[in-house]
Amino acid sequence: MSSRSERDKAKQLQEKCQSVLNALLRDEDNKYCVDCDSKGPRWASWNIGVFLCIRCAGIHRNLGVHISKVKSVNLDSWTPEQVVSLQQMGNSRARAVYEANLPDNFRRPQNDSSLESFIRAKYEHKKYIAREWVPPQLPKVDWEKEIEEEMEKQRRKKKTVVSTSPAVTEKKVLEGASVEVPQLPKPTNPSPKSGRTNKLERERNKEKKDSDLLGRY
Amino acid sequence: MGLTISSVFNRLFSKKPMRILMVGLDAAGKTTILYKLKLGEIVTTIPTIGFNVETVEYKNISFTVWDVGGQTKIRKLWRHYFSNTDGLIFVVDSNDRDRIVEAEQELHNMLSEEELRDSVLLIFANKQDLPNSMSTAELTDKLKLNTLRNRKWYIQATCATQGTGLYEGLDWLSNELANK
Repeated sequence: MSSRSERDKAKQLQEKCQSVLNALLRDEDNKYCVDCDSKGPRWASWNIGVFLCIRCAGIHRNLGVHISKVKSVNLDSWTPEQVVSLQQMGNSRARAVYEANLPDNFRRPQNDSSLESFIRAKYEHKKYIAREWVPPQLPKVDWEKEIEEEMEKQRRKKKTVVSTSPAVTEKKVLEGASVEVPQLPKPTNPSPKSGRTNKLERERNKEKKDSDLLGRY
Repeated sequence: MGLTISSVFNRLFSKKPMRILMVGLDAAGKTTILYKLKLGEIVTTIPTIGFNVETVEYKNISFTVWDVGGQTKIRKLWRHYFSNTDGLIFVVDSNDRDRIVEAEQELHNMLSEEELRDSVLLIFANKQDLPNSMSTAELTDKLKLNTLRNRKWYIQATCATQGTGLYEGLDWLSNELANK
């Protein structure tokens, strides 16, 4: 395979990762930082599977990569495995797992040092974790193969049809991105303590009828 | 006459300037190192989008340290800081075994730049306090430092949060500058 098509493939893979990430961020589940609740997270811990604000991202980096692997949604390049890991977890499910035993009257800390203590307790010491939680294996995904097939299809089309609409290609790539998310073992009491998330869960279920993981309505 | 006096005065009392560029993969600890040197304390940092710059006075040298963000897509901005760099500090997260090859590639990529031909290279093997961290010997091997030609380099184990190793690194830099 020529290096040109290798480059094309790499570029398409990056675009696909970006579009899935952006779709995940549009999901109600991920509209607030999983740790401090601030609006519009643009960072993520891909091994834990959560979206974070820049401040909490800074704190997660203090934990070390053996606990949390932090990336910027926009300023880093991504692999499909990392993206799917976020797709499998997401903020609501992560709260159900990592905050299963959070006290009922718990208030999320807002200043730097107490936020760091909370984040360390939550992920390093796993103080509030659902006891039955078994972390999933890192997903195996083969988006490259899908993209190769798609590119091959496009090449064949070009031979028969003179012009191809770029819009079609775009749509195909996005469709390919809706991978099957395997069911994760759920904690017996999956409802997160935060009242808003419960409400969100209900709204989300309502919306689910006419939307999918990519947030297409 | 006035000029002579002032130049003698400068030589005796003013600090020698040294321009330092500090780079490395994201989350290596660059900003924490910068502010540990500047303020002597650990500040709460957020990922650097862009850069931080501070002057640090140590042993009659005035180090101007540029700390540039390390996220993948902003690494291409590093080259805009290359010119007139006396010393490079490349910071590595010694605990991040998965990305050491990426760090090695970024390092060698950067060193092939003409503008950095005369700059000396200090590697901070940071986060030595973390459980699975690589030693300086292992990092020397993995970063392929022994393949470097025509380059003065030194690797120093550090733990920025405890402040260990940082001044040893600056000592090496200041000796190199004195020998220039």
